[in-house]
Amino acid sequence: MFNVLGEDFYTVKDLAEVSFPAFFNLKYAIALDGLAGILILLNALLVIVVVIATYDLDSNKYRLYYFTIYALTWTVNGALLSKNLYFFYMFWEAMLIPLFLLIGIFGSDNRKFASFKFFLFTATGSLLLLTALIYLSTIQFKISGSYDLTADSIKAMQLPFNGFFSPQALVFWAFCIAFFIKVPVFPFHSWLPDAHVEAPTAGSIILAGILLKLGIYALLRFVIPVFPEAVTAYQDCIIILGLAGIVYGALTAISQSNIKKLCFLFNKSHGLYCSWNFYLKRKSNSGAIFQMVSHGLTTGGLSVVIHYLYIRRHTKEIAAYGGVAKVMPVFAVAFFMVLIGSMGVPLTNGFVGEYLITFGIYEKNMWYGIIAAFGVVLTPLYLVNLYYKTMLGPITDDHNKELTDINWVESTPFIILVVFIFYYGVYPLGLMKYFDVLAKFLMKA
Amino acid sequence: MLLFLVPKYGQYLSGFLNYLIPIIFGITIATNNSLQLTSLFQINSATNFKALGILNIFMLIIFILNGYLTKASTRNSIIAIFIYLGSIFLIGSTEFLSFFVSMEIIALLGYCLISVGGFKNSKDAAIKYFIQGSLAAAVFLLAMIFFYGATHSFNLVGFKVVNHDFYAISLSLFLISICFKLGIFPFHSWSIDVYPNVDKGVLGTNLLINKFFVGFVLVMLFQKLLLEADHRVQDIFNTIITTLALLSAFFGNIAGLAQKKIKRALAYSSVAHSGYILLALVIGINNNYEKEILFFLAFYSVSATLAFMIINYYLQNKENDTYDILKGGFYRDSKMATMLTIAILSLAGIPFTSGFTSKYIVFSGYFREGFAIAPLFIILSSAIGLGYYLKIIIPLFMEEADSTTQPLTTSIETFPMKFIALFLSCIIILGGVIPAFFL
Repeated sequence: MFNVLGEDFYTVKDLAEVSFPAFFNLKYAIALDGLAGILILLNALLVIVVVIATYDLDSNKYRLYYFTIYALTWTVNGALLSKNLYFFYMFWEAMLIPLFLLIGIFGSDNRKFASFKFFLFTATGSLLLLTALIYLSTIQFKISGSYDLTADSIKAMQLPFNGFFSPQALVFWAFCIAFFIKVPVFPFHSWLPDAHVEAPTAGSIILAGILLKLGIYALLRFVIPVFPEAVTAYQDCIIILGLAGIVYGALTAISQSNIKKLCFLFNKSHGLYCSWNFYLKRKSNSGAIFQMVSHGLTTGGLSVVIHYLYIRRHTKEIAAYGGVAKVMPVFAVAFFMVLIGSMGVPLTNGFVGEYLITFGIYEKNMWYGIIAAFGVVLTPLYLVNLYYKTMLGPITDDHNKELTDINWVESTPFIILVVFIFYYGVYPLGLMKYFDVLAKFLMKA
Repeated sequence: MLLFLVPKYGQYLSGFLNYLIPIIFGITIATNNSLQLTSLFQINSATNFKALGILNIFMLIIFILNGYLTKASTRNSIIAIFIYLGSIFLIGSTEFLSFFVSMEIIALLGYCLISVGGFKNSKDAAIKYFIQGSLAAAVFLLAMIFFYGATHSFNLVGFKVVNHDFYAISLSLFLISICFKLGIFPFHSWSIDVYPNVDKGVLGTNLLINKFFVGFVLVMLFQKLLLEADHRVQDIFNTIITTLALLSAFFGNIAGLAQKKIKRALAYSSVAHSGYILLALVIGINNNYEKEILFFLAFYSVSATLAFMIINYYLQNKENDTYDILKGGFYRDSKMATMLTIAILSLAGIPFTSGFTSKYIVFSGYFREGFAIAPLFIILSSAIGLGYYLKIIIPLFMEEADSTTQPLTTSIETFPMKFIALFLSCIIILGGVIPAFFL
């Protein structure tokens, strides 16, 4: 089961080459592999969820709202489809603008600060990437007379590696920090809680579902296969960051009083999945990729849950809720389904990824495995606690007695997500093979 | 007949002639491969012709911005024409005396033009610029004297350095006056007053001619002069120029962040951008990066002009340009706000705008020449600068207009400005998507 992703999955195949005149012999080449294919489909699915879940948008700025959502989708797809690092960078940086506007215009009270912080953090990371990109382009220019910089051509440069101040290590860290900020891996995460708490539902879903995954995608595409020596040298360091992130995230989540902050501290476990990819490189990171996709689905579900609670009660404090299941039974069931998916209960998609990753880590190093398992065990602790405090028990607040249950339009996103959560949980192998076949199909088209 | 017409329709006639002159010059220049009037004036480099072509387009923009409905606009256009002529003679000068004279024509008329800039503090700015500019001119003259002592001639083509000590002194004095003209850190204080206090065509003249064209000519000249110096002197100048460029980039970005007024922040951004381009003095020694520098300066001027213009539009003749004037800007006038956003993103160097491509091209040039540390720090300084660019976008989209916000009035006079704004923002996007079209 560890090696279901064949070589085909990672083989980049060219789809088309648009030879519009850029400069220095650059051409915008569109290429796709299985990984990018999965993320493009996930992107499409989550945009459908976003549009349905926020169908009764209470704002006269709806044109701007849909413009930012579609601009975000467009830039994400552009980044996933670009083969060339230069165009990847262009889309990578350009996607900050629509998200900045989405958080800043449609977010909650502290939205201006959150969007500002988000933009500064990620753009600064991107500037490191830009520096490395320019450096590599100049080397490429000396070799081939063009700035056409793909993952293969960077690998073919064989940058020398001897210690931290050698070119390969510096470029490796510049790439890594730029992508780690996006993922985010532990010490670079501080923008994420702010951005998530202040973001509107659409922003949260797309941010957690796609944008953060793009950081992992970039690591898988432009770092791990490209800098072999540096990856071997620093993989321990990176996995320790990942483990620190999962423990830190779980411990801080337990003491949170804000629902949204709590749910998204759960994103910290991302760092682990991402760093796990460094450890085994191409072998047996199926689990990490699987977890990446299933995490996109479950966080999307959690965001929708919070959205429905928020538009009814206009507060994100856990203390304001209690016994909501009595007045909103359908919603409570849907919440439960999403919740068990997020916790990694067997037969849901969350279980498969977490099991594979923890098992793999344990096999490599027992102590790392124990810490990872500790993080996985802590996740149900705070999520079940959240469900208990908001949904179960007696109704403590009188406002909660007048809540209305979700209607059929509002339940559509849950139906879509829950089907995927259980289908992937019961038959994960089929999912991976399905995506592999799909990738091949897309190549031919 | 003409005598009867002139008093009544004179302003329209002169307005028409204004458009005609650059068109005629443009056609003359475009149809020639080399141009020589006397031994003092010749143009034969392809890049110089390209720069002149861009200057022609900019000149048309300035005339359209000036308009032709009032006497003041006609006067501004006539002064702009003389500045334009000075620019043409500047790029074609083969000898220092004519170079100095044409540079002073541009500068002196520039002081006059700024004093009628349209704001309360325009005259103060003009006086400040005039006093500092005269000092810079004196330094330039002194540099010429040492140049004569070093080469026994005023020729800029084919001179031989006889006295290397005098040559080094002359170069360092040139560097000072170039720093003044470009607005590099210790010599920047005029630009902070000038750019916020001018409007429309005067602003265009300042950014599109003084910043773009004079900057380009001076950078090219200094590269040529530095090539003749011996290696020891070149090394010293490398250090000095790199330090100045870094200081300018960091100072501009940090000081811009501290400003409470938008236009002053953008003026500091111009100081930072001058720092980015000053490094080109060093890289150009062995390999000419003329096209890249031209691209960078032209697109910087276009973005900055657009940004200042639209901020003046939102300001609506008020003096106090705090960030509050942009409150709810997108919901009051969505088209202008979108164009302002494009200009600001271009200044910040975000992809899909020409600001990104021009910085990419220039910085890759620095890396290709083997400079790694200085450009790295300059890129880091631009991360600081992101702060004040975002502070402009935030009130546009994320705040609501309240009772203190000035209502926007549009009239026939704002139409040319809107037309030019649309044109410039299209150019910025085109430069970001297909830079090869402009290179």
